[in-house]
Amino acid sequence: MIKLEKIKAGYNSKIVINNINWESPNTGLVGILGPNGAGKTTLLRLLVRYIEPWEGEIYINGKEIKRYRQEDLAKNIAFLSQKVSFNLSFNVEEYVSLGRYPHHPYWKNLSKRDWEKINEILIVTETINFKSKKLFQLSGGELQRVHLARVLVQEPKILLLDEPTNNLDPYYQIYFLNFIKNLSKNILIISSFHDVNLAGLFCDYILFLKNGAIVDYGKKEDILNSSILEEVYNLKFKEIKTKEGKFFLPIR
Amino acid sequence: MRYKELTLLFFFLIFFLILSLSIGEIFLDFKDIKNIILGEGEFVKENIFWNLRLPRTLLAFLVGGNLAVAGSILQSYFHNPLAEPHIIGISAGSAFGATIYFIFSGGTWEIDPLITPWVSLLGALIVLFILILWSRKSLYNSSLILLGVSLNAFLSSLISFLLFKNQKIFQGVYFWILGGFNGKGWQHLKILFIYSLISIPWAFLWRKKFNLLSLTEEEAYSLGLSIRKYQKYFLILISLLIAPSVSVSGIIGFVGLIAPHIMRLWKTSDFQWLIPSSFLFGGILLLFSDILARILLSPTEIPIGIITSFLGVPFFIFLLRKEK
Repeated sequence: MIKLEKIKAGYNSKIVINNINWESPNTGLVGILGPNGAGKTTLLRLLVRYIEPWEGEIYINGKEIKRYRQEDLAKNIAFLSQKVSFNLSFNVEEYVSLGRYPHHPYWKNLSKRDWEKINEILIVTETINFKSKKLFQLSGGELQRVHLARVLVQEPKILLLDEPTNNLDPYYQIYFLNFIKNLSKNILIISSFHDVNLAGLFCDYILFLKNGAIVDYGKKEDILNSSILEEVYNLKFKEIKTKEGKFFLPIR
Repeated sequence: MRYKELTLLFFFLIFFLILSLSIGEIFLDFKDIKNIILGEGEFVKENIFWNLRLPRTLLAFLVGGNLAVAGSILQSYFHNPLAEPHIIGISAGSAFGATIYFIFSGGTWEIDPLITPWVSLLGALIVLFILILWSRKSLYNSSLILLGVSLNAFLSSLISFLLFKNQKIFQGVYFWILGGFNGKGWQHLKILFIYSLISIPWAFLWRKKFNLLSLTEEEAYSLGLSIRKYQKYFLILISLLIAPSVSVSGIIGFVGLIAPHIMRLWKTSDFQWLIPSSFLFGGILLLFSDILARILLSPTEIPIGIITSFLGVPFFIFLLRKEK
C-alpha cells in the first residue's frame, strides 16, 4: 500500500521528517502517536502531496507518488485534516458532493451514479436528515460526521485522519472510532492521535514518532506499554490492566 | 443547477436592459424601441438607440458580469469575503498599466483595441502576483486587505502623479479612470466581448475547482486539486476577467463584492450556482447603477464609480462587522 523510503521533509528550511522508512499494512487501523511537533501532520501531508519530500521516495500501491496525477491520487487517498473550513455557506449535501471531484470530469455536472454514492454515504454516516442545512448551523458532532461523509464519497483505499476526535465529546469520540474501526476491515486507515487510550482501544497498529523519526512500529499488543510511552512523551505513565484492555495514566 | 432562480434573474436582467435602453436625455418608450427594431423609427431616435444606448447598455451589463465573477473567484482564492478587484488593488494595477500606455501612445486616451487590454492585463498580473506572495507568507487573513488597500492607494497616487506630469492627457484619462459608460460605443463592447468570450466560459468550466479552492489548501490537494500546478492559470483567469473591463470602463468598485455576496446569501457558495448567478446579478447591478448615473443629476452624468462606491461601502462595512 504505502511505502516510505528514506523520507526527509519540512517547511522552508526547517526539517520536520528526518529519514523515515516505513511500510504500511494493506488494511487495518494504524495510529500515529507522538508529542507535538513530532511530524504526525507532516507525514500525512506528504501522503496527499500537499508538501513534497526533500529526499527519498514515497510509493503508493507500488507506484511513485510523484507519477500520479493529483486527481488519481485523490481517488486512492482521502484526508480529513485537522484544520477544516466550515464557515462556508455550502449545505451538507453540496459540501459532501465535493468528494466526488476526482471521480468525475471537472467540467461536467455530477452523474446519477455520483449522486447515488453520495446518498448512500449520507445514510451510512447518519447525516441525511440534515442534508439541506448549512454547515455553520451544525453542532461539532454533526459537523465531524459531515466531514467524514465528504472523505468517504471519495471512495478511498487509504484514509488519513489528523486527530479526528479532537473537539468531540466522549460519546462522539467512541461513535466515530467505532465507525472508523468498522471501515478499516476493508481499507487502510492511518490516524494521528493525542489520546493514548483511544488509540489503544481502537488501533491495530501503532507508529510512534518523535523528532521526525520513527521510535517504534508494530502491532498494538506487541508494542504499547508504559516504557515506550515514557520514551516518546518524556513522561511517566501508570499502566492499568482491565478486562477491556490496558489503559495508561500520565503521572506527575 | 438552480434553473428556477437563474430564470428569475434572467427576467430581472431583461427588465433592466429595457429600462436602460429607454432612459436618457431622450426617452424611448416601448413603441419607439419596437419601431426602431423594425426599422421604422425616427432618424434621431434610431441613431441614439443603435449608436449610444444599445452598446452602452450591453457594455454595462458585461462589465458588471465580469467584475462580479472575478470577485466571487477572488473571495474563494484568498479565503477572504472582502476580496474584490477594486479593494485589493487589482483594478488600480490595470488602470496603472493602461495609463502608462496612454502616456506612451502620445497623448491620446482612446483605447487601442489590441494593446490597451494587454498592458492592463500586465498591471493586474503584477498586483495579483504581489498579493499571492504576501498571502503565502502571512498568517492573518485581514492583512491581505490591508496590503491591497495600500497597493491601491500607492498605484492611485502613481497614476495621479503621471497625469500631473502629463497635463495634455489629464482630463481624458482622469474621467476614464473614474469609471463610466458615457460615450462608449461598439468598439469598446467588441473588445470586452471577445475577452469575455474566453474568460466567462472558462470560469464556468472551472466552477468545481473554485469550490475546492474555497476549502483549506490541504483539503484541496487531498480532493485532487494541485494548487501549485493551477496557480498561474488562476492568475491569468482573474486578470482576464478584470483588466479588459477596466480598460474599457475605468475603475468601478464594489460590484465584485456586492453581487457574489448577495447570491451567496440567497442560495449557496457552491460555484455551480455562484458563477452564472453572479454574472447575471453583477450585470443587473451595474445596469441599475448606470441608470442612476444618468438620471440623478440629469442632464449631467455622474461617473458610475461614484455610484457603485456609494452602494458598496455600506455593504463593505456590514461584511466587516459580520466577520468579527
